[in-house]
Amino acid sequence: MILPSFLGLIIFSVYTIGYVLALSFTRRIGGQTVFIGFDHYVRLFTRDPNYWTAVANTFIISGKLLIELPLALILAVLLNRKMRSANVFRVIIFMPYILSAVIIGLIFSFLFASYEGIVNNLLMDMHLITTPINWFGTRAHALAVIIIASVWQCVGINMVFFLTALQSISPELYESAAIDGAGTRTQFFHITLPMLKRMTKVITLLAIIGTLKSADLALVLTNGAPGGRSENMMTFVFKYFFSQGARAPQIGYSAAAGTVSALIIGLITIAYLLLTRKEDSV
Amino acid sequence: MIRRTTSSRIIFVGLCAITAVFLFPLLITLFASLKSNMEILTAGGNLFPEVPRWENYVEAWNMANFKRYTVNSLFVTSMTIAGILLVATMTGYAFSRGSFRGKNLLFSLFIATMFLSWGPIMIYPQLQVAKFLHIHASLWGYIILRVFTVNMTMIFLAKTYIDSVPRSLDEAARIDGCSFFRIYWNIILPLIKPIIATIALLTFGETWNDYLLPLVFTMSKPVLKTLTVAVVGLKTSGQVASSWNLMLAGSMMSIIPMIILYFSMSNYFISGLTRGAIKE
Amino acid sequence: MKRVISIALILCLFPVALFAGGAQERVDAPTVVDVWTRNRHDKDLMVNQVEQFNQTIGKEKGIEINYQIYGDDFIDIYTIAFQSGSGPDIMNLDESIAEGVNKGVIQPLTSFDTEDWVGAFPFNVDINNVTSYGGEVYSIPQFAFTMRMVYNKDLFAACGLDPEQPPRTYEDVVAYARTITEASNGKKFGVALPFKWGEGFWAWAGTYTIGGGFGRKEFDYRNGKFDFSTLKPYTAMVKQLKDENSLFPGAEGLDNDTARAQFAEGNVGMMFAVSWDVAVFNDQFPVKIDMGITEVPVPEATGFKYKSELVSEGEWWLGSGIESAKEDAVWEVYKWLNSDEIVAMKYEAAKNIPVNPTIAAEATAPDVMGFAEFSDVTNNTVYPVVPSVSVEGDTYDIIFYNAVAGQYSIDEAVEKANAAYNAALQRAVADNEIDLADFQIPDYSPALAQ
Repeated sequence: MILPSFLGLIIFSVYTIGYVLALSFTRRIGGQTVFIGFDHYVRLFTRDPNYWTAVANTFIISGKLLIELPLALILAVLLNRKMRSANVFRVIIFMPYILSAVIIGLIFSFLFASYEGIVNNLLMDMHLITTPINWFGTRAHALAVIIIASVWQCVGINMVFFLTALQSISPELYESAAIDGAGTRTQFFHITLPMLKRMTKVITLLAIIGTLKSADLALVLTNGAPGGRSENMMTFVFKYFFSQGARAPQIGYSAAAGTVSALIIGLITIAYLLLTRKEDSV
Repeated sequence: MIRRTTSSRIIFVGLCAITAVFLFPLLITLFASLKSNMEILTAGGNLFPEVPRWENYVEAWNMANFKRYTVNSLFVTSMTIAGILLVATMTGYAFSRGSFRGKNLLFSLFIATMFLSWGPIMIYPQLQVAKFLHIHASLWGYIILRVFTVNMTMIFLAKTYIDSVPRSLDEAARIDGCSFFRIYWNIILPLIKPIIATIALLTFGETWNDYLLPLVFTMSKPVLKTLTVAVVGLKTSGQVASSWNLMLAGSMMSIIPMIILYFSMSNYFISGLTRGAIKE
Repeated sequence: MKRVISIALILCLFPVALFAGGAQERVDAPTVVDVWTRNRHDKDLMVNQVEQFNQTIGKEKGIEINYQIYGDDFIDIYTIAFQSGSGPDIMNLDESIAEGVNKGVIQPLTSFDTEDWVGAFPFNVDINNVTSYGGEVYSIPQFAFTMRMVYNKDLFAACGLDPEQPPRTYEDVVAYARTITEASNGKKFGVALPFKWGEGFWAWAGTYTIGGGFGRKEFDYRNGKFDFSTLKPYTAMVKQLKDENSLFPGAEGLDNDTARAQFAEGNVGMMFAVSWDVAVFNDQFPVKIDMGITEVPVPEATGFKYKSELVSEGEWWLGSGIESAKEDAVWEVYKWLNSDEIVAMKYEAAKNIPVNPTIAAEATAPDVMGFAEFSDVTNNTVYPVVPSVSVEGDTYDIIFYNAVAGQYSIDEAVEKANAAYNAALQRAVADNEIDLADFQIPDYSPALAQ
C-alpha cells in the first residue's frame, strides 16, 4: 500500500533532489553549465551576510507561532460545538487561508499604508501614536507586518487541524469527568490537552516547517523592503532563481542557498522530533 | 459548555472581538472588489465604495472565461483531491499499522522530503520528469505530479490520526479474517472522516489556488487553463497598470466553491457526529 | 467519503468528454504560430489586428496567430516554457540579448531571412548588444521609450508656484517639493517615488534619467568599467526629499500603480514617468488635474547640456526550437508584426514612438493628451549599452536605497556598487562571457542637447 508514495518518492523526489543538489555545484557561463565545486557554498558562508540576515528574519517571523498556535487551539476548543454562531465564527476565521497571497498583499497595503492607512488612523484615534508610522520603512516594522498578515492568514487552518484532532477524543471521557465534578478548566487541562498531545506535536511540526518555507506573503507584502532587509530564507532563494529587478537569475547559487536552507529546516525538524520524543515516553 | 454563566458570556464577547478582527480585512477585500481601479489605489482607507461597481464582476466573469475555466479547475481539483486522499491515507495507514523492514528508515526519508523542498527550483526537474513521461502538456500531467509527489504533510496528518484509532478495532477485524487492505477500507477509512475532510480541504486550497504549475502545464493549450491562472491574468488585463478591480472581483467569485466545500465538510469538524465506533 | 469521490469522478467526466472532441486535429487545420508578449499598452489594438490577420491573410495562407499576453512574471514564464519545450515561436524578450542567447531562448533572424528583408530597413537595425549579438541580427528595433517628469499644474498654482516654470534642476525639485508639501498640510505631497517598484524605480527614474546630466549612464564607456558616481546627485536629491518628508508617505511600500493613481487623483506634485504612462494617464487612471510634462531635471552643475536617453529595444524575437514545418508561417507572421502598417498603426494610436524615421514623417501624429511631449525626441539620444553582469550581494538599487535610508553615505554606496559591479565584470571577462571591446568606446563623446 506504500507503493504509490514510494514510486512518487523515487520518480519525483529523488530525481528532483539529485538535480537540485547537482545544480548547486554549477554555474551558467556563456550558455554552458560549468561545474564549479563548492564555490557557491563558500560564497554563501563567507561572503554573503544578506543570506544570514534572511535566516535571522526567518526565525524572527517564526516567532509568530507563539501567538498563532495557542490562539488556534483556544479557538478550536471554544468553537468545537454544533451551534450556528460557532459555524459563522469558524468560517470567518478560516477564510483568510483561501485568499491568494497577491490579494492579501494588496489588502494589507491599505491597512498599513502611511497615507490615510487604516491602522495608522486607528492608532492615532486611540492616541497611541502622534504621527503616522512608515510601516515598510524599517526592518522591525516590515517584519511586524509580515507576522500580523501571516497569523491572520494561518490561524484558520491550524484551527481546523485542532478541531480535527478534537474529534479523536471520546466524549465519554468528558462525560465521566463531568460526573466526577471536574469543571471546564480541569477538563481542558486534564483531558483535552493530554489527549491532543500527539496531534499537537504534528500540527506544531507542520506549522514550523510551513513557516520556515513560506515566501509568498513576504514577497507581496514587502518584497524585501526596506532595502532588502526583510528578506527570509525562501524569498532569498526565489530572488536568485527568478530574474528579480536588477539581477539576472543565478540558479546555481539559488540551489545552493536552497540546500543550506533545507539543511537548516532539517536540523530544526530533527531537534524538534528529538525534543518531543522524550515527552512521548513519559 | 452552554452559554449560561458570566464567564461563558465573556468568552462569547471575546470570540466576537477576535472574529471581528479577522473579518475586517475580508470586508475590505469584498468592498474593494466593488470599487473602480483608481478608487482602490487612492482610497484604500475608505471601507465602502463611492458607487458600487457591479460591472467589475461582469467584466471579470467574461474576461476570465469563468464558465470554461471553472470546469477545468473543478476537474483538476477533484481528481487531485481523490488521488491525494487515497495515496495519503493508504501510506499513512501502512506507516501506522504495517510492520515491515525498514519502516522507520523509509518514514524518515519521507519526512526528509518535507524540508528538502526548494520551492521554485524544483519546477525544472519536475518538468523534466513530466516531459520524460510525456505528460507535460495536459492537466493530467499536473494531477499525476501533484498526487505522486510525496505529500508528506497529508501523510503525516493521516498517520497521526490513524495512530489515535484504537488498535483493538483492527485486531478484532483481523481475527474475523479481514485482510490488511480490507481493514483499511472497511474499518479505518470510516473512522478517520475528520482527517479525510481536513486533507480534502487542504488539498482543495492548494490546488485551487495553485498558479505556476498549472500555468506551465497548460501553456501550449490555453483552453485548459485553470481558474486561478485566469484570475491572476485579470490583474494584467489592463493596458499598463494592474487591474486590481477585476482581479479582486474575479477572486471573490473564485473562492465561492471553496466556501461551499468548507460548509459541506464542516460537520466533520464538530464533536459528536462522527464518533460511532471509537471507544477506548 | 465515497460520496465525495463519486462526485469527483462525475465532475471529471465532463471535461474529459469536452477535450476528447478537440483532440482530433483537422487535416486542413491552419499552422498555429504562438506569439507571446508582455506588451499591454497596445493590447486592444494588437488583439484586434491579430483577429483581422487570422480572418484575412491568415485564412488565405493557412496561418493562425495565437496571441498571448502575459504579466509581470513574463520572463519567468517563458524561461520555464522553453525549459519544458513549449516555448513560443515569436516573443518579446524581457532580458538582455546576451542573456537571451546564453539561455538559448532566441535565435538569429539570419536563417529565416533569405531575401535580405533585414537589410531593407531605412534605419540601422544592427545595434550591437541591443538587437544583434555576435554579429547576427536577432530583432528589429521598432520602438523607443522616453522619460519625462509629469507635474500637477493645479497644485503648483495652488501653492504659489508658476505652473509654466517646472523644475529644471534637482535643487529646484527639492525646493518645489518642500513648498508643495508645506502648503498642503499633510494632504498632498511634493514628489511620489515608488520604492516598492524596486529596480524599476532606480532604472526608470534613476539610471535612465541620469544620462541627460552627464552624457553617460552608470558605465564609463571610455575606460570600460562601471562608475556609479553619476548616481550621486540623484541619490542625494532622493535622500533630501525623504529627509525633508517631501515624499508621498510610505515610499518603501509604494508601488508604481499606487503612485500613478495618487498623481492622477491630484495628491502628488511631481513624478517621473515613461512614455507608456501616456496610456495610463489617459485611460487607466485618467488624470483629474491639469498635467504638465517637462524634460527630466538634471543636476545643477551641468544644466540641460546633454541629450537625455531614448531607450530603443527590439520588439519581436524568434523563439528557439521552431519546428521546421512551421518556419515559413512563423517568418510570415514575423514580417507582418514588423510591417510598416502595424508600426504606423501603433504610432497613430499613440502606443509607440517609432524608430523608423519614415513612419514618423508619413503617418498622422496622434492627438492624445501628453503624447506629443513624450514623443518629441529632439533632445533624446540612444546611449551605448551597459553590460549586464551577475553581481554578488546587493544589486545597485538596494545599495543606493540603503544610502537614501542612511545606512551608509552616498560615497560609500558608490564605492560598494563600483566594487561589486566591476568585480562581476572582471569575472565575466575572465570567463569569456563578455568581450569588453563590445562595450568600451575609447573616444566616446556624449551627444549635446540643442
